Amino acid sequence: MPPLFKRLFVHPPLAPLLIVASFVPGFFDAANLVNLGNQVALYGIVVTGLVVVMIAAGFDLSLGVVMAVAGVTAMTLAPHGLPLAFAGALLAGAACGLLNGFLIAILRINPFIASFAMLVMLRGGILYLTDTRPVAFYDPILSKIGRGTILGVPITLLVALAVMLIIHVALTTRPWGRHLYALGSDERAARLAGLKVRRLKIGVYVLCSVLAALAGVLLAARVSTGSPIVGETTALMAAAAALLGGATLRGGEGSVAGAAVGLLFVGLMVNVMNLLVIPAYYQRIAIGALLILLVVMDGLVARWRGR
Amino acid sequence: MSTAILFQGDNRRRRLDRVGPIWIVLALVLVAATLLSDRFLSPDNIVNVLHQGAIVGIVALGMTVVLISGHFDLSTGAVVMMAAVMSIVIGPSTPGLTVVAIILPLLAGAAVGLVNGLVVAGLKANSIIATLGMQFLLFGGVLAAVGGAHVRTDGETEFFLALAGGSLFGLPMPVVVFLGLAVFAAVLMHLTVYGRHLYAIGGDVEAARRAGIRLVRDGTFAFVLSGTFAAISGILVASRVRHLDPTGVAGYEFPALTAAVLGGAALSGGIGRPLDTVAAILVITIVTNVMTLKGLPYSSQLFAQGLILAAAVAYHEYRRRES
Repeated sequence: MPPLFKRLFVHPPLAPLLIVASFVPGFFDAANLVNLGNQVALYGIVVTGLVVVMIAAGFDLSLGVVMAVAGVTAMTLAPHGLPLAFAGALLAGAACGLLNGFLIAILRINPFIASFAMLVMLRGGILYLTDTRPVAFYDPILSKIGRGTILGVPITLLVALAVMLIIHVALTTRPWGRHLYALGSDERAARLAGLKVRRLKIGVYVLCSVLAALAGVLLAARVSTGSPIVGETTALMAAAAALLGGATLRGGEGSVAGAAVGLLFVGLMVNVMNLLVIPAYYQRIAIGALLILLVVMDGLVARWRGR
Repeated sequence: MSTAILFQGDNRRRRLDRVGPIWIVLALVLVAATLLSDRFLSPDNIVNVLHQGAIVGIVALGMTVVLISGHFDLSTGAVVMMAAVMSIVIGPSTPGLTVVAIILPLLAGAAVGLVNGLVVAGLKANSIIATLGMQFLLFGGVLAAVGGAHVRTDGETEFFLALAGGSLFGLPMPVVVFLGLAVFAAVLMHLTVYGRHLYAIGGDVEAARRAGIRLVRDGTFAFVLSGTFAAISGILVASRVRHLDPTGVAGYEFPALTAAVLGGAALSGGIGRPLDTVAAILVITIVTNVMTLKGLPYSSQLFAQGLILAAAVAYHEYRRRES
């Protein structure tokens, strides 16, 4: 099978889904497409970070709560100026990533569990600090960034595309990218080859959390509110997109381009379900089933290749 | 290969005759709690602590068994909710319905465990993502089935109410059930061939396979046990309330995982003792109870639990690397 055909029709079946989508009334409405673009944009930023972590044989379940932390931080600091809001939120993200990296690279804790503990800790922390209430602040520029369009393209989508392009280029052309693939496929070999494994690992978790924080700020900007409860399902949606796009849970594989296609699939699926007014519960069922299917395939592929 | 060789490695970690360090922590936490709050030792509060600890503790016992087999089960929170909703929707108002309201959720919990086990032990899927997917599926499924609404029941039989409300030898019924299941799990893990097989699988899958242990069957059963235990917990929740908000019964898997790890179960499998999990669940329940008594909100308790999990994992992993 030609790779492009496979990418669009089989893994994931994006093209068939697009054909189905085109029959759904309202799919091609400008408002829906902008909405789809906005949704996909935020996830796109998050998924890009997750793919980098997954290439390095790691995982990050705390993405969603980092979005919440960043959104709340940005909206709390926004009255003192936008640069401060952005810097504060991204710094908060970097701090979370550093902590993840410390737990995973230095204390060598299983990444799923380390980020799971972080997730609960941060969720509790942010709910405590905000007293479970969202922080609202309206700023015209921030709102424009969150929901505005340039030539009909959502600004957030442009940001997402820029992020994806930068990371894609870095992964495919810079030594850093090759080092990550090497680290992900065989950590011992990477260390013996002289790679600074710890530094690389901490780096990917910081990058992943900073990107999640960026997505969190954009989300908060769109609704002029930083909510402490957003992002509950983000990590698993992102995981589904990354797995669909060819990343594995064992590392060494995956690409930004693949994740983008995977993300389009998940985004389209959710969008079509929204248009058909399928309740959120059923969407959860669909995502849960999709995830189970994906990890089963992930496991089977690993066995066939004898790894 | 004889199984004797297989088990020589770190047998002392599994033997019953050594007191785990968690029991010392429990003693210290007890003293601290008594000093911090004069209401802690009141009979009402002690019963409350035991009650809460028992319901999460039953889930934690199942989690411990699954961890020993080398996997995770994060679907248990959703199983608790599913079982509780099933029990209440069936409405145990007659003896016949009471039996159904107990048996059906148990079977459903076992069935979820079976699927988890086949997916993880059989098809070699990553257990964290697979069981999180299962959690989504069940959560969405139950909410869709009840239309997102609260469920309620009336006129339960005395027997059903006694499951959570009754007491035996002065202990609340859930505590009796919890202790019974703890003894069951301890006997299963330490004194039966099945338990030895599970430690072997978690310790070294390849060695276990070569020793002739049936990986899929034995690994799957650990998940079935975990699903069934979670369902028992759900039935106890149902017996405690007339009126249940399904979304309110969530997140049991997190304290359960924290307790199992705090009790010394290794994330990489092969190590852990159900009785140490009992001590750990008491530690966690006492810490959150004292926080409640001191007027700290639930969010700060979440923070504390996350901190305890991270610290416990860091401590145990560090010690294992040292030895």
